Amino acid sequence: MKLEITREWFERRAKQEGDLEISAGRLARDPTPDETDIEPAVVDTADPMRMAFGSLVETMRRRRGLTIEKLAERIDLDAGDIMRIERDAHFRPEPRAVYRLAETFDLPHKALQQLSGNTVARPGLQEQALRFAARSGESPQKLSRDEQQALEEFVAYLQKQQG
Amino acid sequence: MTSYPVFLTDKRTGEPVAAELIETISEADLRSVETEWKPVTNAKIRALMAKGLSPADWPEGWHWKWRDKVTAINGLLAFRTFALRCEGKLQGLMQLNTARARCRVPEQAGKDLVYVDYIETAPWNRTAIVDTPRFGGVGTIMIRAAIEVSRDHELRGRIGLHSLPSAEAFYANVCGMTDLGLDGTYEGLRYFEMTSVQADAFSG
Repeated sequence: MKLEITREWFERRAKQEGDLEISAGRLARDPTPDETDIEPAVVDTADPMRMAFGSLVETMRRRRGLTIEKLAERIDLDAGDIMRIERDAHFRPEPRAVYRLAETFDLPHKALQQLSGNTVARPGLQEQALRFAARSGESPQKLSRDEQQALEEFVAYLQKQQG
Repeated sequence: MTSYPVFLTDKRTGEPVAAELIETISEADLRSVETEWKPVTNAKIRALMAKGLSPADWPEGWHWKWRDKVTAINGLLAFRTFALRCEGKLQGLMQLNTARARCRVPEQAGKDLVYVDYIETAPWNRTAIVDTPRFGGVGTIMIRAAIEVSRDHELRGRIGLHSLPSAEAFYANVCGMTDLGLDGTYEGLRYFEMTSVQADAFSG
């Protein structure tokens, strides 16, 4: 490759660039090694199941008494990733992150991947996910009795699906 | 390893300084991202979190993981990657795909082009992350290099890319690329294409 850049050319062009942002590329996520050239298999939208996934991670984290940073440390993710998983329903977590969450919270891997949007959901999951999400509050402190019960019921459902 | 002498603008003095564009992102570059870029970006995110701002308001591309990108294309000949270094530090990264895409601009529709998979500058060069950027001109150098790769492949400087929303002004106004609108097939990002005439104008 021939790349010969003169000082004059650079000065002229760089002045126009100024402080403008220059980032280009996929916005939402990084490709996994087996999909370097393909679009995501599952549409990346803020669907109710993805919202339920965020609520599930948040309530499980709170039940364990973990801060976002502590959970991030435990599963070797950025705190920002945890924030987005819990609060940004457009964000699709990487399969390996979902796997680590399943391990940490002792939840069934397959059902969690479905809930996260990484794989196609089994019939019935959406209804249960909606029911769970609707009963989840936003209190930053301790889980309420109803939240606790909703969590236990939903986890029991996911575990049943896995089997 | 091939390297090319280039320039960046030292924002402290406003003067061009010598920099180096190196073909192929190395392990040292990836470590620089993880140990030098990431802490700067994370500090900004923590400050935004403290203000109660959601991820939608964080600097675009904050979660990119260059190690994953580079691992994903390891051994694939269609990809070329570049690292821009200045004063001993990594200032920018770019990944090009020479076999992915065809032109969409009517006058060159269907012809091959070099597709710019990713371009990113160091967080200390971004006003979205720091108050006073350290170096400028990373985008200028990277786009010029992409044009030269295109010419190297006898594609006459034709390149295409999807800009992150905050960078659209750079590709439209500074690079003079054709804006083909929001692309519903690619995360709704705006697609820009540079014709061979535009490439000549940019590099001339």
